[in-house]
Amino acid sequence: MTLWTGPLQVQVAPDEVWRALGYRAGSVPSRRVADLLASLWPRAISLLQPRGGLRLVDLEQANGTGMPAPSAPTALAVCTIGGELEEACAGSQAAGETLHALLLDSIGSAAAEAAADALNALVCDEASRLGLATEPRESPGYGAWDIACQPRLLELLPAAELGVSLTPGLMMQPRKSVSFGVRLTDRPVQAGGRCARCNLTACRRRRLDPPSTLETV
Amino acid sequence: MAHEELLAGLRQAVLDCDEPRAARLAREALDTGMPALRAIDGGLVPGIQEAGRLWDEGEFFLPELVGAAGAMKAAMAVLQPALAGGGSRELGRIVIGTVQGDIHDIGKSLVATLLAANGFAVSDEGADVPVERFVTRARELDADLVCASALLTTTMVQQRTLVEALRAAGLRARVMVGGAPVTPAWAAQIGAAGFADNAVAAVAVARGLVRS
Repeated sequence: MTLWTGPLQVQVAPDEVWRALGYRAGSVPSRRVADLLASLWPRAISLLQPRGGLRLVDLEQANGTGMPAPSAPTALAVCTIGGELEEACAGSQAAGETLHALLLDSIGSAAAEAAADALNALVCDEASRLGLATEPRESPGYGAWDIACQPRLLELLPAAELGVSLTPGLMMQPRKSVSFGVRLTDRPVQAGGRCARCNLTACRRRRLDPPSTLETV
Repeated sequence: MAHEELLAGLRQAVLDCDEPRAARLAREALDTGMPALRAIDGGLVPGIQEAGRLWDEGEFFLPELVGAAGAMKAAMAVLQPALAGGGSRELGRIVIGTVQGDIHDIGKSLVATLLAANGFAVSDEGADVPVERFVTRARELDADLVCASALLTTTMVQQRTLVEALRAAGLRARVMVGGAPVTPAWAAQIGAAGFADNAVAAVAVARGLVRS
């Protein structure tokens, strides 16, 4: 049974966009790049259609998704920011405006993560209501969760209702979509960010330092 | 404006990611009788090389690099017609695309942009490109290099199919692979000639592959 499905309230942090573009704390984007991002921002934000769905499943269903070592219950979720920003990005690319496309794509990446955070917060609320804690979210294709399990995960979620589908290569469409599972537990959960808990030190997504608000020259 | 001043201006316009200024100065250079090749080699190339150096040193990031390539492209659009018959600085011909089944486009496009800015003739075939199309385009263009991007473990196997198909077709084009799950070990395993894990590295690897 779907526990919840609907629009998500997301706040996209500019620092997360800079981070998606490769900048780190202390990095200084050029004025031209900063101005361009500022000029693209309002339209990009207006194109976001963040929405998601989640459900709690029992151990048998969770095992069926291929999620490693699921809990009873496990929360499964999927969210998307919709396809409009993606279309704008493709339009910029087709027009040869590669920098515009890069910046729009990065806003989309940050927005998709913000949508996943918002949905994850709903999972935390539900866990709290049940007197449980949550472990960090995990997604197919990362760690030990095989990407081949993606269809089985989406089958249990209102993906079609949200407009999320899979390509033959098991990629979600719209591309800026996130599917994940969260173990609910009655054991204490280690504090700290996901990267602080992960021992995959060579990961290119590893977040070393939280960026402070960037200044421009 | 004196020629030296124009060349310095072109270099700076590239570094400032300023497409309109780069195009305007390129036009001005031609109007004052400067050969197009001199404007390219004395202004634009030093600009894009300096951008690469600043990226290496961590002062430039991907957006600045892409912006610099955009400014170079804008100036090249003005200078290119004047190059006809006056010599070409093409480093090599490249066919690039994201493999079939994979719809990720932006990373591959960034590589294509930087390759073009650094003097390669690039035919960007887009995303979800069948192996047959890579082979056909490589044959049509007598390509030196075919670059194939894959962003998922489920689609990277297409890179192996591509290497085998080019070999079976008897084409001389070498293959460079890249993408999030792709590693040097995978490149070696499938017989790809080159691997790059970012757009700047791709330019250096491409240079090496077309020279060797």
